[in-house]
Amino acid sequence: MSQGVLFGRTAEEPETAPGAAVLEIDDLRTHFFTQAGVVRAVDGVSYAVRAGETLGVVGESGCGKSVTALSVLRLVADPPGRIVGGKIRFGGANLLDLSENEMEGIRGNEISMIFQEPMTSLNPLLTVGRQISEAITVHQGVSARGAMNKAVEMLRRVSIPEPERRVHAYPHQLSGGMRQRVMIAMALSCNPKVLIADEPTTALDVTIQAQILELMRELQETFGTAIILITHDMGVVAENADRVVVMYAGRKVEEASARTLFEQPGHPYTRGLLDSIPKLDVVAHEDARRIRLNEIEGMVPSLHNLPKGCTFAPRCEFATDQCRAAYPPLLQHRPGHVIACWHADKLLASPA
Amino acid sequence: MITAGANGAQTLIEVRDLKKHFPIIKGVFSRPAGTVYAVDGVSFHIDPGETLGLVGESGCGKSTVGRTLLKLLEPTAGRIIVRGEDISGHDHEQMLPYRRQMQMIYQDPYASLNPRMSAGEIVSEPFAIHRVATGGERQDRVAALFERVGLRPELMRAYPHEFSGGQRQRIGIARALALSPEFVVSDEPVSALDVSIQAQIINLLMDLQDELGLSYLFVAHDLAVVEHLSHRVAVMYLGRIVEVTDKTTLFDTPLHPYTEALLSAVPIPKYSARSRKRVILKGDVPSPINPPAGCHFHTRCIYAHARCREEVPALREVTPGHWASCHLHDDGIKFPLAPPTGNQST
Repeated sequence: MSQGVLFGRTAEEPETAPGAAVLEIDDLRTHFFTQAGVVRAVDGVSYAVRAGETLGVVGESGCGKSVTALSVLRLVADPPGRIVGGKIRFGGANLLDLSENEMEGIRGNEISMIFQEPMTSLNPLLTVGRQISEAITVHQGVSARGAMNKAVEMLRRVSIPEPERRVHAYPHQLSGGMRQRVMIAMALSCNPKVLIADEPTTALDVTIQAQILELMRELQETFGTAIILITHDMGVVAENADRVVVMYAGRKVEEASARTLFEQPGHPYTRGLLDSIPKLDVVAHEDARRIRLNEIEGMVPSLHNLPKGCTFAPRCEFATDQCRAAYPPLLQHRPGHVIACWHADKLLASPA
Repeated sequence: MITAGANGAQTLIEVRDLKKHFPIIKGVFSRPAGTVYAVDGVSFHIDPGETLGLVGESGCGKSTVGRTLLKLLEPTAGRIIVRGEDISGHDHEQMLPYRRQMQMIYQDPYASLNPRMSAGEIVSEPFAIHRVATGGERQDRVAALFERVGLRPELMRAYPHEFSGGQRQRIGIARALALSPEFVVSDEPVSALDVSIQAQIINLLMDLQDELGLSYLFVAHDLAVVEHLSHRVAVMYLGRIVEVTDKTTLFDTPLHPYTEALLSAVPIPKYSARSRKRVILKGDVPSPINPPAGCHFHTRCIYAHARCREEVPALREVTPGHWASCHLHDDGIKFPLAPPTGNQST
């Protein structure tokens, strides 16, 4: 990792990146059956990710972004959760049709996941070398010694200093940033086609976050991995994703290329969210009489008791009777730009 | 060490060379086994109606500064001067009148409210402790506070678990404002909240400041939030302030290499931000138990030279109102990099 690096992608990205989808989620419905009623955590979500592409999935807590990802790997606890509908297409199959045995061959091998809190996702009783090599022996049929060598190699790849020594370290002996590097090493050890990163840097300090995101970018370039980057941080998405899916109350409300989403957001929720975040370069130049941030009135509705019609309508400044009566369809308003809003055309015509 | 507050008459709070060290106790005989240098010589001042932002990464000592400043923790050394009076040696009794004027808003709206007390009881507790207003008058004042922070007064009878995170933070703010303080320490008040709720709380804090003339010490790790709320910003690294100035200058011309790296590491929610030039620091923050000699930042600094490894740089006024502790400026070396951010391209 060099310092003072200039990176960035070319500005002239096509609206839709070329290449076929590696993983395709189609009308996924994951519901939780609780005593208080059915929680529609994921209610008809579709998105796809292509090789070498980073798809950002953003939304606030409880919007269903993590449950969608867990559903892909069939890791939703049943009971209370159950995937009640939809398809997850990967490698010519629907993952929802596979046996548990077949799924084990996919998890950690072809599709891996890294979680927010590396301390709780690593086993505190095993050295990091053991944990990385476990996945390699299970999936790749490599000998224990061969797997350990691969583990050292992976630790080197994720820029952990002295990998030969660290491979014998236990998780508590490593810092938060190092643990997340170990998680990434483990996730990439079998060279997966898809990496799902669920809030991978949320628990980390900002200078360490920058290191980890840089590392993920480098590894993606090397391995061509498709990355699903799930985060609540619009800044992380703006700087790392090629395309972005915005979720609200269990549904996808907008999808666009990163550039379009940040420069011409079409859904009132996306707009509201972007306007409510202080932007470092802007706020630094406000005068002492500071500008108020945009507020989105109210709060995310309870998934137990979603409002009729558009779930965002009660908080939306553009809401009309139409919005309160029926949920708007997801329509492509411009090439590659999908929005679920009755007023999207009007909004797109007016400057953000 | 410096005392940044030159205009003593106007300054509300001044901190001089504040230190807070925690002993590490080990074994059955409770032998001291080391020291955590959590705050290691920090000086700053806050004027009436001003917000000083205190920013830094986890473990840099920013929260300890806030707590020590309110004497919730006893300072190890240094002076805390409130309107000209040194309160660093004050005992509990002597502190009481100051406690009314200096309040705190906490990070975790779940842990900082007693689950067995109703929201109304929580907000009226400061009145009980300081024996201010009784009976109906107290109820009226609590109701007014509820309204002021955007909660319906009927909610006074509800318990904390019945509120959302944002609403709980409003209760915490109402409690802090109950005794009409002049000064409030806000320790990460929005970091546990979703972004759409964050904006509501940030706006509320700013409105309250305008209306009541409050001064804030705003402690947070999110530089964008700090810059939005603050007039001036102090950057901390491993127990020391490495740079203080007004927010615009800090952003446009950072004088400390750590500030530069921090600014460039903050993700900006704009597509154009991805083409900006960035400094990516190597390694982790060293432990405050055994901080590096000389400048604490030298182990991660790309400009470090021999002197940095031996000699602690003093926080000095490099340009008027802009303080930084970096040998580069003493040595007359021009700060090597251009401003790290901006919209150079799309």
